[in-house]
Amino acid sequence: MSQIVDWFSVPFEQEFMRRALLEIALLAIVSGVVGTFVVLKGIAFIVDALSHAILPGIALAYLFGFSLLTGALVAGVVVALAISGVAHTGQVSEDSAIGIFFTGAFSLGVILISKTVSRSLSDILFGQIFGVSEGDLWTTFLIGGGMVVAVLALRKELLLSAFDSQQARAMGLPVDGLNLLLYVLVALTVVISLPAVGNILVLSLLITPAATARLLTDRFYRVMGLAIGCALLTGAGGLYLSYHAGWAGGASIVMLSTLLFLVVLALSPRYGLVSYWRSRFYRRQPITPNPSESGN
Amino acid sequence: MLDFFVKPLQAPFVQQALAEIAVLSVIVGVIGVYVVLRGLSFLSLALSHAIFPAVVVAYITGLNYLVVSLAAGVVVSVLIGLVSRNRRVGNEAAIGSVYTGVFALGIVLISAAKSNRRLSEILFGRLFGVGWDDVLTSIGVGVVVLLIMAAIRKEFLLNSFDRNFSRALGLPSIGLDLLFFALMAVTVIVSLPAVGNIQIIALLVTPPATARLLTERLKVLTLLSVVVALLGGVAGVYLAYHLNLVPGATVVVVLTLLFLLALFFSPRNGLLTRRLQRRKRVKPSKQSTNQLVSK
Repeated sequence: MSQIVDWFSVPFEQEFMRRALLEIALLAIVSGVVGTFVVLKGIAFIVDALSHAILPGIALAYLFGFSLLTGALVAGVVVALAISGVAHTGQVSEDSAIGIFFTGAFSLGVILISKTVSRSLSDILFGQIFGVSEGDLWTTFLIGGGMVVAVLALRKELLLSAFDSQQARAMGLPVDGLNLLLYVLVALTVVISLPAVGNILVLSLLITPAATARLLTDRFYRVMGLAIGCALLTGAGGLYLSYHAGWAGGASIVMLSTLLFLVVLALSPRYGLVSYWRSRFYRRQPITPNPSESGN
Repeated sequence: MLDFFVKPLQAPFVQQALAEIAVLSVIVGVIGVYVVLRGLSFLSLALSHAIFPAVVVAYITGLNYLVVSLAAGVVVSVLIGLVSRNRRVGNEAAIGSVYTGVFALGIVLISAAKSNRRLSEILFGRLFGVGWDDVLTSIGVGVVVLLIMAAIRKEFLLNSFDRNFSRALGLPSIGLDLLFFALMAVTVIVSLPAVGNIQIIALLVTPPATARLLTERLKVLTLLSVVVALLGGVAGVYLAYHLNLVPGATVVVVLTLLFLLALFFSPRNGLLTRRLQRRKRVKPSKQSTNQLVSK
């Protein structure tokens, strides 16, 4: 028994572990809130692209000594505009435009960093969760807090434009502006997660908890709450795992998060694979159409 | 000027890199056309990252890379296929959740094995570290992939352009899809050691998208996309050699620049070309309306 307590309490006595836990808790809340919208809108690819594409901005920020946040935001906005601009010409599909620009921007970032920045590239790409400083914590807290407040203030508008953009537009909501706001929120999430998990694995932080939560409930705010819960659980679990086993911190969290997702996918009472197969097994007749649809 | 081209050629690692990138250009140009036509960039990104643990396992244990990564590719494709069938999750979230998890597994493996190989080397490929045996492997795999593509190109084409029609004709739509995914996975797997995880998507998507701006005929499209990949590859290798840059990333930056050039200056419908043409066309259209009015 005391061994189990020790397993949890001994790491907790370390300053760096406490900081890591606090940082991951803050990130869990922010990414749970933003990620729910990302999953709802099905924009994982563009989020992934943006998180890669900010690399040249980070490199330039290191190079010229301005803040990482500014560099990353500018790079993110430039790439997002390039993608949507090219996709709007109608000559290249959006999927291809994303593929072209984010790989191009990312490669440019790799070249810039390898040529100029003394910091190791893999630190930037994967973060150092156990090296989070007090300043990082404050940045996460302040920016993350601001983002959560912004989302809560605009929750109805964001929700409507995510669920039904036509209706939102008809009601006079600035749908394009709201989409842009969502992208900015995503870019900010990527930036504040940078010291902890790096920019490659942040996609997982944004989408996996929300995708897991969607398998368990239909209500929007419950999805959000559950997503935060999943992220907290796997975040803390991953940190302990990585502390005891000596594994890479950010990657342990991501791995655990996907594992939880797969377990929920199999076993979820409503939408799980097992319950789906079981219902197919018992229902030996073809699926009857939905009465509300057939009765018009 | 001549030195710029000839001097690097004397180094064996440049010869090998050029040979490898040339072979890969042909495979990737052909497969990439379908990746672009069907909008499969995200899937190719997921595949390239999901194979990553296999790369790590092969490096650590010394097992045959091709065998391990083929096994991993199959496992991950089945997993993504299974997950995305669940409507609640959706295609994009399914791909994203699965591939980040598998990718993270690879990083955990590296950190657990305390491998002294640098992570970035595996991530960004070692174009300047390929040997002649790698080139031979690529040629062998490439011949097989291209033969299959040539044998059933009509079925592939129909299946990617008009699924309903192809299904009505009785073509095995799902089988063709699976075969194509398998070919795509094989292409990603052979290219990965040379160009790396992210760059492979650029290699698959950018050349065909550039070619698409220049032509609409499929045969020309395929040919052009091979030529663009070749051009970007060779130019990237030379630039990387002379400026001492990361070779895989340099190739991608050159390819992106070629795409932007085509986007603005394509004779058919480049953005600037169209603007110029519109300006020219203003006059004749006025004349024709005048004629109509005078009649």
